Amino acid sequence: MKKFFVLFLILCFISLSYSIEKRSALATLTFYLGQVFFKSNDIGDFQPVQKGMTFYEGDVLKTQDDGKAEIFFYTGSKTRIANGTEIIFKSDEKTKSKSIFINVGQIWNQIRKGDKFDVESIHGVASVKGTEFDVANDDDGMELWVVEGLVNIKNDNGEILAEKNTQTRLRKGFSPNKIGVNRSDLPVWQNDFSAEALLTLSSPGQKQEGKPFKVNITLKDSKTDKLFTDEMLLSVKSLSRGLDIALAKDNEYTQSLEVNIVDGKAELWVKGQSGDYEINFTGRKITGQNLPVKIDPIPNQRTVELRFTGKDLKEHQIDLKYSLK
Amino acid sequence: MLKRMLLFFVLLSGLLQASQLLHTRYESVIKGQPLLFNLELRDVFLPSVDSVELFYKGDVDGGYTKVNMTSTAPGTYLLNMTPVLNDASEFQYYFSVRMSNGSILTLPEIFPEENAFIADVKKSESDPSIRLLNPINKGIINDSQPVFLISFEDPYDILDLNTVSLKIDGNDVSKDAHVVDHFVSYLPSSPLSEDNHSLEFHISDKNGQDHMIQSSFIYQSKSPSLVEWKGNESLLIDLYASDVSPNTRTGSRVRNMVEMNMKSGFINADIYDFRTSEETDSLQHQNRTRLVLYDDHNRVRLFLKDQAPVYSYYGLNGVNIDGIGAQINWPNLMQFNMVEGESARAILGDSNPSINKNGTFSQKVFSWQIASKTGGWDNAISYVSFKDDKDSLSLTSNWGTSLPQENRVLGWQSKLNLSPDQSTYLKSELAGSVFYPDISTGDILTVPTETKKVVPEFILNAIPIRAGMTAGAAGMIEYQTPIILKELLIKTYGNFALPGFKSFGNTSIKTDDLAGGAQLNLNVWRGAMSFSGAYQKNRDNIMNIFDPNSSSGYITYGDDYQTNVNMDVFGLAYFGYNYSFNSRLNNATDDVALIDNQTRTDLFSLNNIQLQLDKFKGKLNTNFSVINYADSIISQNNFNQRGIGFAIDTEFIPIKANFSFSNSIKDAKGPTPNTTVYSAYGVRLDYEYIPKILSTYSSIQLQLGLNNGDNIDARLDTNKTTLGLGALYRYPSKIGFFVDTKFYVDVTITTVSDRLADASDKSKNYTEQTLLFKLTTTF
Repeated sequence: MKKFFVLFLILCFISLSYSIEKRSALATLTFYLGQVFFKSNDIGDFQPVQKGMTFYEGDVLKTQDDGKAEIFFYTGSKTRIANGTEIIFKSDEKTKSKSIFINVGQIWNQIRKGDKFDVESIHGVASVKGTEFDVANDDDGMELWVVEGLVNIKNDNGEILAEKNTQTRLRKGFSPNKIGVNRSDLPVWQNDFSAEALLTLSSPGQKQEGKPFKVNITLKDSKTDKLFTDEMLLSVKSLSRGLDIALAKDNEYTQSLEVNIVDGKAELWVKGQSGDYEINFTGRKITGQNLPVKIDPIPNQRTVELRFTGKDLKEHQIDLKYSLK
Repeated sequence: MLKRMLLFFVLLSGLLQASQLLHTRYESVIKGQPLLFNLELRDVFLPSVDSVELFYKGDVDGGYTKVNMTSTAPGTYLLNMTPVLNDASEFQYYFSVRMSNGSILTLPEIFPEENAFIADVKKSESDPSIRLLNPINKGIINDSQPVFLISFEDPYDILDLNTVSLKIDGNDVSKDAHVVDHFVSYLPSSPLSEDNHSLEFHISDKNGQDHMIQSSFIYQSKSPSLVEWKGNESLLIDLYASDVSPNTRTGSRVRNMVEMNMKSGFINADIYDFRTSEETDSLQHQNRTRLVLYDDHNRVRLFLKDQAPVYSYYGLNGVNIDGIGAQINWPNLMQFNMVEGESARAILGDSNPSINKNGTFSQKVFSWQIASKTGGWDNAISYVSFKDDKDSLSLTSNWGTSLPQENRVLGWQSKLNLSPDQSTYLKSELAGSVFYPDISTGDILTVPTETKKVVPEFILNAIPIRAGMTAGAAGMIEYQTPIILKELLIKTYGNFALPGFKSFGNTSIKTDDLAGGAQLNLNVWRGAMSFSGAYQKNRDNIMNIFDPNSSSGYITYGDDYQTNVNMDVFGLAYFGYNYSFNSRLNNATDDVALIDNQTRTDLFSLNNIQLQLDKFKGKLNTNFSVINYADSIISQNNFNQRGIGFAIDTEFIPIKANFSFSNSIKDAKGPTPNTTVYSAYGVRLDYEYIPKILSTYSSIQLQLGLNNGDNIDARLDTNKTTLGLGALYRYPSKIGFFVDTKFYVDVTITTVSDRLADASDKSKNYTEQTLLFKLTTTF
């Protein structure tokens, strides 16, 4: 029995090692705007992303209609992800190749020289080694624009080599169709990657279980450093159960809501049980933030020190102890 | 008949380019290991060389870094350097030689920044690959809280992740850095200031070898205006006092430089203005204002004022021109360049110049170039016309012995790449010129009828035949191919210039010589050891073969040999052996030797020997060299020289100290042998009084020269003591729209004494003091 137990432990260790090796980090998120979510094997539901977070084999990244993201692979290749896109990270340890499977949407890729990189969809595969290209994918097919270098494109019906200033269409049942395009016709959405406003969050003071407290929200124009005067809708979400938010102190508290900011300033009320939490803030054209929140439990006993100087001109001290019933 | 033949030659030949700057290029470099750059200046007037510089960058960097090269022998410049390559996969470099008249020679000759030499950056098999991904080196970012991201690939698992050190603007943030698998990332907790910022990353491997990345970048939020602009300003005031006699230096010098870039939509404008109180009335002007307009992709560039273009070696090379210019660029396909304006040709060499206008003829310059790239075949056709404006010196008595002249050069440069990686190629260059030695008379000769039958009239009108007119041609051919695995390269070449060839674009062209040679390069152990050899055969004044009165086909001839062996040992030690032999014999006088010399240089250095104990850091660099020069013609030039030097850099925050020592012993082997010893000792202390705001330094340097040998004329007993004090104050915040404002003060006091001279001899016993103020800011 003991032998079986040892064998079981060894098998567990091997499988654990294998799974760790298979889940080596592939890419890091360096910038995003708007609402961007990810889902990993460890987490069942989509969660808001955080700047600097790492993606592994099998992770899914999704941008909403107001979302964009930029990621770097460890090999130095860079990918920008457009609005309304969903991709899956893939890698092959044996061939040292990395790939992105694009379910829907559009991505721009700047692939480092010597890096093996594929972009896949249900319509075909584009393989590159050091180039710059843009891929859009939907139910009808996949389109690929080559900005620099060469891209090998294939589907079940054929294979072609696309050079720069070309646009290639992949359709089910047809071989890849390549046409030459002017440089001015190449996609430029990837150049618009700057935040219009900067988000600042503050919540001073100690937080106590069950007591609402305020979070101050400030939006500043990233160009002028003054308060952002345009209207902006901010999506706010408590990332854990046990912490709720509301627009006013006496409103009903909920897990998520939207804050409409008009003159660059707003406030949010938070209430929760004791523990460590995070609140996620995202909005169109801004980089979102996670605000860490620590709520202390209500003390069931408190000691008060009372000091006074008596008629004898000496200092006296009385310790008062209060207990919660 | 000969003239007609030459005319045809001119019409049929194209451009250009001889090898004036010679360099054995690197095909690959090893990251983190020192590189020895060698540049030979051939046919350059060496006393006029101001500086020789190497410009380099990695392909992921935004701009070039400049490093000065050191002269080791007449016409030979060396640089031993370990470039910081960060994440580069390509190492790009070019050379620039600045002449005292403001002109610039470059290698590669044409558009050196765009056509820089490219070497692959290699690493040894066990070396991990460490990359700075974000922000890029020398980049400008508009994200106030960027993710600092460094990745590494470590196939042999030799990196010790516990040794990660990350500093942002000098602050150690290693504790807050996130280390996972292939990445080290750090997200600053507060926004960065709108300023220049620096990053320094270290990680050690299990052998104790440090791997480092250094980078700088600028955070700049976007300007809300329609026109974005940025620039920098630098003002330098230099006060000087001395009792040296004679004293040729002025008591004060002021230099001011403003650079500005403006951008509106896709239109960019670069403005550059340089003013100096040292501006003189002769030669080309030092004070310059430049204005360039161009689009985002550099497809079209318009030079509205002042430029120093480099089209080709023979045609138009570094001549400063006040005028207009244009460049139109179709990437990887075609390029068109045009320049029209005025330059100046000095006539100061006249015996009685009696100058009334800058000692120069104003010179009209018109030039164009069309260059194309098609299927691995690069071509360029260039034309340049220089014409003295005789009215710019209206009194002919002021011309002295000079006359207004005109020069036209047409050239064709071709490079046929025979392999995809361009390691095998055939390069040919041809140039033809016509030269009118005196355009003030202007008499056009009547062309013989038979010439009109052969040469089309429009060509005769374009190139009128005048009295005294000369025509000539020059050219070269070069072939390079790898023999074994790209490591063993062979290069053969030949070049010549006919006597009548002349180009104002480069005044130092030899006109009558034929040269050919071969080079062999061999890199082994992935570039850790390299062998190279070169042989060149010379036949000077070869056109004598057409002279019926000459008994020999050429007047001088000879051979040049060069051998180099270099070895790097893990970037810590370097061995170098360099040998050159040059000979010239006089063919007309029974092979009497005119030049017969050989130079052997042995180099050894230990680099980057480091010691780190808690807050103390120390680094030692040493070098040792032996030079033997033997000249069988001018034996008094023979010498042996031994040199040794070391430098110790230490850091114990906030103090940095540098100690240096060098000693050279030169044994002159002439008829009266004598030995000269030069020694230099230096100490410099830097103290950061307020971190990043106020730092100070003090230094003292002692230079000694001693020669008490048999040669009375060579005796020497001098010493020079230099005391330096300085401070740098960096204003910590914005002043209006100026940021990163720095103010430098520098005081230098020097005492020079010569024990062999009379104490009252102020040419050898004197003191001098300089006080320097410098203000730099960006906006």
